[in-house]
Amino acid sequence: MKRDPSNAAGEFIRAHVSGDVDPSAHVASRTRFVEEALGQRSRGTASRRIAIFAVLAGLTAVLIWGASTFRTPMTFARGPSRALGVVSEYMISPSTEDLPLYFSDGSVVTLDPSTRARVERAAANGAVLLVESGRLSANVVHRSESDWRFLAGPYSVHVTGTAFVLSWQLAGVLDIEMKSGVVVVTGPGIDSSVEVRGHRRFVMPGAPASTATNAPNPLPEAWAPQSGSAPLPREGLSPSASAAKSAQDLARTQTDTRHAVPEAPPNESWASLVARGEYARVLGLANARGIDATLASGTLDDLAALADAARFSGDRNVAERSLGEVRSRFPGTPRAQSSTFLLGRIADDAGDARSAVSWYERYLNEAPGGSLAADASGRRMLALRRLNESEKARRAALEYLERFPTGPHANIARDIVGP
Amino acid sequence: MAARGSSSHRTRNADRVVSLPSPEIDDAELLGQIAEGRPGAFRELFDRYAPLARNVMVRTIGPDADVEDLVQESLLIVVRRANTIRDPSALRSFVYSVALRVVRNEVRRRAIRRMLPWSSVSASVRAVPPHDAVAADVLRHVYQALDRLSADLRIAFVLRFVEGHELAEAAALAGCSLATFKRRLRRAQDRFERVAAADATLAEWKQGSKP
Repeated sequence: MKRDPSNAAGEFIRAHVSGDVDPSAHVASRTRFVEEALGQRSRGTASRRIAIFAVLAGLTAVLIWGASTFRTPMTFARGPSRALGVVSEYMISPSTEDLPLYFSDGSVVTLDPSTRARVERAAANGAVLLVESGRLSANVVHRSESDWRFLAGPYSVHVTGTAFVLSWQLAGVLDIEMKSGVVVVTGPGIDSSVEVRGHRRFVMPGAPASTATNAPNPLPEAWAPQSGSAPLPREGLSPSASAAKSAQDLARTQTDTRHAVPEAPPNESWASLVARGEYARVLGLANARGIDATLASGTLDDLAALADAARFSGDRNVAERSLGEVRSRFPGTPRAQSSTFLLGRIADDAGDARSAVSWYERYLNEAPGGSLAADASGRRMLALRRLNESEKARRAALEYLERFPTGPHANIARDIVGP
Repeated sequence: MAARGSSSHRTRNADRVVSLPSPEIDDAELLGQIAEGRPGAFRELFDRYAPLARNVMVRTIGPDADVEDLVQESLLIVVRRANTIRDPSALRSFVYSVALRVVRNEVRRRAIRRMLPWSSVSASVRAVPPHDAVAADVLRHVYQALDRLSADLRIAFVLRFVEGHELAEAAALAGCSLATFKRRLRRAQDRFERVAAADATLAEWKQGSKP
């Protein structure tokens, strides 16, 4: 039977073409998107500030307002060497040591080992830090106009002058242990906001109802779970020593539960677990099976999922090994190609710009038309700039603009190329 | 920002802090959080609308290597314009129209690059073909035929024949009057069918026999 060609073509496309992607690819793309969106927002804010300053610069009457509004934004230095920090640049602390950040107002934020974060914005009276995963200690100098924020997933911690320890895990647990001062936390599950004051601990979410159901409740009555809910430190209440110890016991229980080897979920792939953010679970399953055994005989899907779980958990060693196995055991596949790119990202995040350039170039040679070509090209350009190889960076920027004139790195590429 | 909350706030905060499910927020709330710059809102936007944008891209230009870049570009535009969307409940339509504009621009860019002798753009369909090699071949020829349409004609073709939108809805998405859309659609159909008739693979496929 003769079919109408246009309708037949439309049906054929619908039947054979869809936007479905592998969950791990979606997660990787989402991570890149969030980075770009945050970077775009940061650049947009800076542009607005510069535009306003240009308009007001010539007006005597507004000099006082201008002076108060446009005081020099604070700067920060990173690490023992006090290298100048860069706003919006991702930082990942070494796996074996802390990374202190020294701000020009006297505040100090110390990233625990393997913590991923960046200074999203720096103003005269404060900064915004984005914590991707890990733990940090903060000592924020209190001034009347101080305004600091720590962003962890969907949560925002507003700080005016405070000492605390903040932990944010990609599985979705925010843990704040106050030393002094007060912070205000907003985010999902919190009605309006919550103040957390000195010598208190705030965990979000609290102990899962399933773990509290049958276990004896170690907390005093004031903190007892209500209708299956987990306790939340209430503002204004001074914890008793027993309550504080009980909170620590509860937190330890949570920690122990998190680190126990999980049961293998029936018929649920590692890729599905990664898509839900259950990275620790995937790592636990791989450890239970044996990392070496997993790398030697795991399926391509499992290796890719393990690499993602390790990468998002900050386990560089397992991530690199997994991606290396994908490349060697499944050469020429799209996953092997994307593994090349991801090895560049890992090196990049670890501050190893030289290795990052090498991996990105290898990806561009192996997959010039690959789905990550734009990203690899842009990041190669940025890494060359970090290496102060200005001429190579400029050539890379020109190549980028020729291929991806409206890509996410186009604005930076134009800056590098210059007028 | 609220300072110390009332006792009812404290009670509600304590009651709600329990094994958090993924918070269900509507598009209006999502836009508000995007405007505030919350990373969680960007995540939610991507999870919620990247598949929509991806479908628009991949069905218009084929399963191509650049699809994900175009998806990112579309959603970044949505983020930039989050403050300007008048009707937050129409976020889905807004994402769709942005994705269409981005893919239209991409189609135009590729058409120009194809005219350049030094250009590296050849066929649209390069990556992730169907596992059926025969279907992959037909698909390649279908998209090569679509490459012969201008950006506006191609968009009209995809909206009507691939996505199956009614004429009025398709015209609204394409950003033109119904009369203009009908004209474009007629021209798109005529040109596609002329090209398909001259293509041996498509001619055989059209008759229902395997190439």
